[in-house]
Amino acid sequence: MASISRTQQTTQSGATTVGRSVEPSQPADVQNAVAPAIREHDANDSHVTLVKVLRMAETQVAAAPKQAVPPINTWILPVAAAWFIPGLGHFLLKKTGRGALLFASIALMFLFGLFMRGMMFTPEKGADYLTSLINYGGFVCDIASGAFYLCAAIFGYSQPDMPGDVHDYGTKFLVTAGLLNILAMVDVFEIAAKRRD
Amino acid sequence: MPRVNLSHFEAAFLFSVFASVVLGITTKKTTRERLNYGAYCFGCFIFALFAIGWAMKLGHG
Repeated sequence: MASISRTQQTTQSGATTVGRSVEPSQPADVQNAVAPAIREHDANDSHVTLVKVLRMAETQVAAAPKQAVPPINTWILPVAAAWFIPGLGHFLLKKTGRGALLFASIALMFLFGLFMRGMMFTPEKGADYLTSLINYGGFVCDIASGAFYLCAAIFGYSQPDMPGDVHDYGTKFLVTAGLLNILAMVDVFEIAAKRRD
Repeated sequence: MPRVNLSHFEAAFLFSVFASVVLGITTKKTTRERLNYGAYCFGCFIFALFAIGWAMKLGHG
């Protein structure tokens, strides 16, 4: 019987493939006789391998934990509190140190934004699509600061968009304070949903 | 309401401090990881501040 060996073949494109072949020292008639059996064996082999891979994939998918959405009453209050006053959600979840640091960072960033006379965005349509996107996005970020934004709006803070690096930094500080508060709200949600300690 | 006039560096430094604190707290799980990540973010902010500042200066000639 012709011996079958596993060889490495390099294709013309340079890719290396592993396959079975009859040793070239065998006579041509032996090679012709054995070739169909080799092809069938390879086909069966690859079929078995494919089935194994599919079964492994099924096992991994079945073993992957599905994160169910927790009931809304477990997280809505801390998340709403975290939006209204940055850090308050952490306080409610007994994470006072983190809550204090978050409150200090976000409040100071917002206050520095006010002190630098940053501009508050208003949800209005601009001359082009990008301006509208900036206006609406900036408004959402400003609102994310919660009570700070509401207090500033109630007390009549209104600053026109003026040229100048300090005003520009102020606008960025106000927007970033809201964005950081969104991060804090996500953290509160994960703690309330027992996804983090 | 008081009005502050910060320089570019002062404003960017304050921005880095506040953002690093929040990023460190909200993204990591243990206190040590939070400290390390906060310091790493702060270092990246300051590095970018100087690198982009020098790039703009050299770019202007």
